[in-house]
Amino acid sequence: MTKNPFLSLTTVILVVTLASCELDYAPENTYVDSKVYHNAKTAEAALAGAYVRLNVFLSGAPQDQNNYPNDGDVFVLGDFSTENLKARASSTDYVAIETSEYSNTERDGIIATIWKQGYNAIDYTNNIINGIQTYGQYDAQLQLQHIAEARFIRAYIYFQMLCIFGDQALQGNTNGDGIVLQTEPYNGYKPGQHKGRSSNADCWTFIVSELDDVIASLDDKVPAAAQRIRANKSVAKALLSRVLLYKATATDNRTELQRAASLAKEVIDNTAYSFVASSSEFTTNLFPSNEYSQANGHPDPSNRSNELIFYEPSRRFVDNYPNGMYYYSKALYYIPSEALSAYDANDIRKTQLIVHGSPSDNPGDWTSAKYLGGHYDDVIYIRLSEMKLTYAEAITRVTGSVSADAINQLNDIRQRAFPDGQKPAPYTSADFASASDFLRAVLRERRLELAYEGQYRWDLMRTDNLLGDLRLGSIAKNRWNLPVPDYEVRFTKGVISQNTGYAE
Amino acid sequence: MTMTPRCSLTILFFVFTLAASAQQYIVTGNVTDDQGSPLEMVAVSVKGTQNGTYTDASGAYELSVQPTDSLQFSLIGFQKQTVAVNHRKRLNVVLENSDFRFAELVVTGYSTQERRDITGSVSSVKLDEDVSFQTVDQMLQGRAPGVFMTSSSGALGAANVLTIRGLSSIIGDNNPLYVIDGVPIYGTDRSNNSADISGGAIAAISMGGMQTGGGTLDYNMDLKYSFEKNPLATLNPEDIESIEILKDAFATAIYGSRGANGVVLITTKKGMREHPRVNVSYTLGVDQIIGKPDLLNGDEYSQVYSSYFRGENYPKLYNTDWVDAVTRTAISHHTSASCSGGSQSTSYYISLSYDNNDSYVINNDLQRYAARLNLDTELSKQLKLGVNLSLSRLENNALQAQDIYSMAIRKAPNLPVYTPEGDYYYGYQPNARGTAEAYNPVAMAYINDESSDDTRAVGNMYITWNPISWLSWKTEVGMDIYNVFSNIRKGTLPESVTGVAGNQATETQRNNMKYVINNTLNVNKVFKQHFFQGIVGQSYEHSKERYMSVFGDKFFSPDLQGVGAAQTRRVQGAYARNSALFSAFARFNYQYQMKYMAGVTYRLDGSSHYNKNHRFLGTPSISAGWRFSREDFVHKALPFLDEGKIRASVGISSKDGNNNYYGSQAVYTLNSLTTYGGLKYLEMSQPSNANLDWERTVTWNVGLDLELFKRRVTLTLDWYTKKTTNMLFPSGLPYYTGYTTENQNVADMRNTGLDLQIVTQNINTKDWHWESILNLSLARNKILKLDGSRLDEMNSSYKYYAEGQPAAQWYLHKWAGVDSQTGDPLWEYADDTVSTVPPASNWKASENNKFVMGTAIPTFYGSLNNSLTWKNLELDIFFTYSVGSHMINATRASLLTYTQNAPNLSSEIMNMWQIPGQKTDIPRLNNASIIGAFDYTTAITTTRFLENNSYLRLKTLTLAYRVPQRLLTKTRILRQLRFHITVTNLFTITPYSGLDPEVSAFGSSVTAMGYDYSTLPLSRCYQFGVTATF
Repeated sequence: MTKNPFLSLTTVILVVTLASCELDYAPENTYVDSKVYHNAKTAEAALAGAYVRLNVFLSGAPQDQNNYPNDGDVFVLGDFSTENLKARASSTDYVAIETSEYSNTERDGIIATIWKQGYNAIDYTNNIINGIQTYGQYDAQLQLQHIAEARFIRAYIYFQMLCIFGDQALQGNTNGDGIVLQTEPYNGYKPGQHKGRSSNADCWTFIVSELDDVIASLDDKVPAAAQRIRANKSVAKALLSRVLLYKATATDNRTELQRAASLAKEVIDNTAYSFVASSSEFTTNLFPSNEYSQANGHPDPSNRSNELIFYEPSRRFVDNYPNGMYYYSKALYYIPSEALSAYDANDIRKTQLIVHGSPSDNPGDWTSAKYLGGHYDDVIYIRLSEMKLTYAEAITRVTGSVSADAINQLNDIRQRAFPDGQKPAPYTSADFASASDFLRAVLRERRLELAYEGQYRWDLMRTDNLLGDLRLGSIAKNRWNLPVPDYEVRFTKGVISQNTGYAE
Repeated sequence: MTMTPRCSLTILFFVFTLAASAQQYIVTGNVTDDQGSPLEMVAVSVKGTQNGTYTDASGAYELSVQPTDSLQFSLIGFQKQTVAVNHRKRLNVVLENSDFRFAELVVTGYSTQERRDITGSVSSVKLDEDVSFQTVDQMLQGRAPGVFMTSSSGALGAANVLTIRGLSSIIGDNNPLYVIDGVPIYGTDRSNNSADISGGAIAAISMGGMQTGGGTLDYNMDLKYSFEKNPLATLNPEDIESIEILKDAFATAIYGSRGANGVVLITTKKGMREHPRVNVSYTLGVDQIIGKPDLLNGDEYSQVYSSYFRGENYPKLYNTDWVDAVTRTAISHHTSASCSGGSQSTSYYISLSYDNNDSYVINNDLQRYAARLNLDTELSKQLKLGVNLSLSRLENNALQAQDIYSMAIRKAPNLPVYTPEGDYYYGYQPNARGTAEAYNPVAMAYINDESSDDTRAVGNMYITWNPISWLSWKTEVGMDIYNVFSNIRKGTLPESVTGVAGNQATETQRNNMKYVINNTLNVNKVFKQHFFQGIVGQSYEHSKERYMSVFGDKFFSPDLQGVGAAQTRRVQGAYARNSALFSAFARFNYQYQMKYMAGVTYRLDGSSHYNKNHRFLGTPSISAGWRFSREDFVHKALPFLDEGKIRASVGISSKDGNNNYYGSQAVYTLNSLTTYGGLKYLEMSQPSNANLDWERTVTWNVGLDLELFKRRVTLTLDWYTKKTTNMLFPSGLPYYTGYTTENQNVADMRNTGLDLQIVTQNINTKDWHWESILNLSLARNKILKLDGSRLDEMNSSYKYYAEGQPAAQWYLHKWAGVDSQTGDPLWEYADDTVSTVPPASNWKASENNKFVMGTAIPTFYGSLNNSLTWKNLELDIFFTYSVGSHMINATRASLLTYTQNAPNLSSEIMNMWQIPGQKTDIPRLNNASIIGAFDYTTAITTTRFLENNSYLRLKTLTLAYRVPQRLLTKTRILRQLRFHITVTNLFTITPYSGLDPEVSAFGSSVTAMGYDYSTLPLSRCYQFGVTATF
């Protein structure tokens, strides 16, 4: 026996070993960034996941497969602390929000949950933006669109977060603490390296400039009403219009208000959206009764209002995408009588849209028919009525006078809310002694039209409680915001500071 | 010596040979030692020729010689002798003991060294051939200092706790790396070896009714529906020649990134170059449950529940002893045969074994078939080729033994096993309440079929090349193919039994395949007074794991088994994953004058479990030793000192890929249940964590080895301190990251301890021999840093982790007994006040009034072994002990929980408080700590159930008899014949009130250890064995 067989065998083994020293393994059937973002199909699925996180944050989404509950409270927050909605005494979380008196339980509980859900959604979007830039290998135009959609979602969340947590951000406190701006995906934590809150002004600037960019990149095409569940150019314009209105009201920044008005007008004028003057639009296409029936399950309406700009699609996939608005049972909150008395007697938005809901739970109490399917209704985030009212308000604030154009927009909304034969006389310029009279009328109409659509509290805050809401009025102005979670203050050892109204 | 017929024949044969070569003739003779005992296996050869033979068991030899030849006699441990034949026909020789002792060879990873040359901390385990072990890890209990092993349950084939020198990780497993003949195998790890025994669809747990408030294991899915297999059960312990345990960093550094928890090196038996030797053994085992819980009988049961649930029906019907109904005296058989031998150039070892173990739980058993072939052959003087291969199959039909037992102790005793017609009596009616799952524990055992079959091949092939005497190259390819198929078939239940998984099956297939390629270069060179020993090598290891699980239900026929026969079927899950490790390593040892030693080891590992920038880890270590007994001045001062060595080492080790964590990128899951407006969407299941890095353990070790009084006393003492830094911990994050907690390299922990082994030869005469071995291990654990956060109720095992404290402590509310005036439970608060309000009933009070109450890990533990030999009789008494640990007796907690489902109770309940002034630990039935739907008295998160489970246990007692050689010689074929009787777990001294202080409900998990949750106690086992060698 010579050495040759041994040497050749060893050489073969060595070569095979060194050649096969592969160390880049990921679990085979697991999606990781590089697999998700390199092609359009999976990148789009990740983007859809980010829309779901947006839903989780705003209004709720189906349970994750890991069974994490996904009830979002932000939408309902828009009516708490106002006379629109009353928390039931037993739901202590909502009572705390309603009164702005928080115990440690809520500070580390519901407050922390809202904050976390927001930032969790933000991290999804950061991952998408970064992931597509790093790994994307599909059509460049489509990549840009996906990134723009992710930035839209991120801007939406930041905007809502700023309304909630920014220290009097809606009240013109530009130097106050806003929120923490995270624009990079989470990639591990270095103990002790904490980020503080940016100023309200910086946060506003960031959100506005993001949306500006997004508008430039997004597709102009508006899909059919049944598909308006993603951002397009008009959706982004509509959101920016809202952002600018919210931002500029307290500071009376006319330039921004002018932009808000122009953007709203562009959306109104887009023929893809159309306003239906018939009062039946509320109950047939916008807020159909979607109550679960044992026999038929959940109805799947074939008609969708062309007023829809952006919404969460649970109704269309009733069995598959149950979300979490809890109006039907009235167990957590209900509509108090002072909210009903704000309406005129024949207003369909009262007579048809404020109902008793569940006959078995608290049968005497009122609730909104906008979410009667239990967990099975679309949640409308942006619709044409808001744009019309935004335009009317913004343009009036800019000019300081009441224009016929603005009055027409207001009349469109108001006239529709009454059945034929019971309509009030349309407003004319004679009805308004001053611009501020008109603004008050617009704001009141916003309250009635957009009730339970996550707006009223912020409208009151930015207008310094123009309508004199007693519930908000009883809360100190520096506590109109929510506190940031105490955990965050503790954990960062004060790098994140508490809002002034809650500082100890 | 009388000449046997076989010898005569041989002689006859040689007579014919002589005819051809006239000068040759046969010389015969006997070889004995200086005591006159025959010496077997003495090599007898004609000097200067290849002509040679070995002596047989009676010391006899015969060899064809020429009258002028010289014969050489050699045997390890004796002085070599050369005797001229000088025309003699008979040559009896007495061999003198050599001063040179039989060198103790120790396997140290990729090579072997002599014990005296070792500067690291390595324990070699002496195996007891008279006890038939089921698994390798059980053999290690109490056998090596620093190794903590406890049998976690009496369930066959279930995983045990084995940890070396304490905890080195909090979230990872703390199991050592197991290496068999150079192949790192799939070892113990709770997350990788648990079989889901829920049957697929877990019956919704009724959350209504009364619950335990504060903490319970009742809803712990990890416990309730899983069986943690012991992957070591596939190995036949009898094939094992030796086990070495690498403990300190210098020893483990050669296994680099996987050494932090220690390394267990298993070497299997090799053939000798000799006549074939056949070994046959048989052991009969008789197992009984070590004790029985003391439960209510049917009448007492009716009485208690009728008075608690007033107005509900709990009739006095039967007095069924359900524990008796589901247990039995179990019989086990262990049969094995091996054959070893060889020629001048080839040796082999072949073994076969068959084990048939009945569980003491009815209709549950485990069978093992194992075969091994170890073969090596010299292709030339320089080239050697070898193969070690084991094939085994384990059929475990005892997966539900635990479940049957725990249901039996809860089952209402006023119900019968069978109806008058002889069918099973199902359900809890006519009682008003009952546990749905305990529909009938006896029926469970017979109608369900829950089994798991393991098929495993572990082996390696190697080639070594010795071009020059001091240099050798070895290339080896090893593999571990480990396939597991489990079938959980739940039988058909009558429709009246609801809320229980029935008429369904789950089949799970796991295919694991690992291969490793090692190339090593070994150097052994003596140069004047210098001795070099070194190894340089490279290794690549690749593992692929596949998993697939299918579920089926609505079987049309109750008799059909496989999922294929189910009417509805679905795939429950499937995955495949790869991992790989590339390594390069080197070790150099140097000795000067055989007195001064130094060593250095370095290993570089690259693991696929880590992100690219953290992928490689280098683990250096150094050591030094001084054999002071070789110094003249020491020898003069301490003449009784035969051998003395001080050694010290320091080095780094780690633990690769805890939990198969892929941190480099975010991980997503496709939501398969719903869509976002028709769009499929991905959920992020784990954010990216590119900073994730290796845990690093730095170990300092100082050791002392002494041999005294002509080796009558041998002592090994090691002191170590082990600091793990960068330890992974589910650390809190600022919420603005979008996440709450994530595993971060934030924690530091230290383990300090002492390992001591003393072996004494108390008596050593011709007829009497008495040897004692004492093992003692001390360990202290402390978390040094946790980055400010702390954790309780981790892993649903309710353990507490905080800076400056030992890891995995209990964090409990304090039970202050029962108020003798009112019968209400009393609770102690943090401000030393006592109240009848349970702190757990209020979220805030619960947090503020918990107390840190120690750990489940003993402060010291070990064993004491005495073996006494008188002539051919040998008595072996082996005690194990463990002191300072605590256990939550959750069995007692559940046997005192009467507020839900009316399970059977401990007979302790009869001591419940009834009249003012009565002193008892059992509160009145309707007491102030039962609030709303919660019963706070039976929460396991209270000190009420915390008990000291220190113990001293007579682990084994063996009496063996070796049939005298002179009797065997007459049989002409038998070389050895031994009989033995072994009793396992004969008695236990412990303050623990449960059945068995050793059990642990969470299998191999060290951090979750310390719960007795109706856990199957160990058995008391009587073994009767016979071993014959031919």
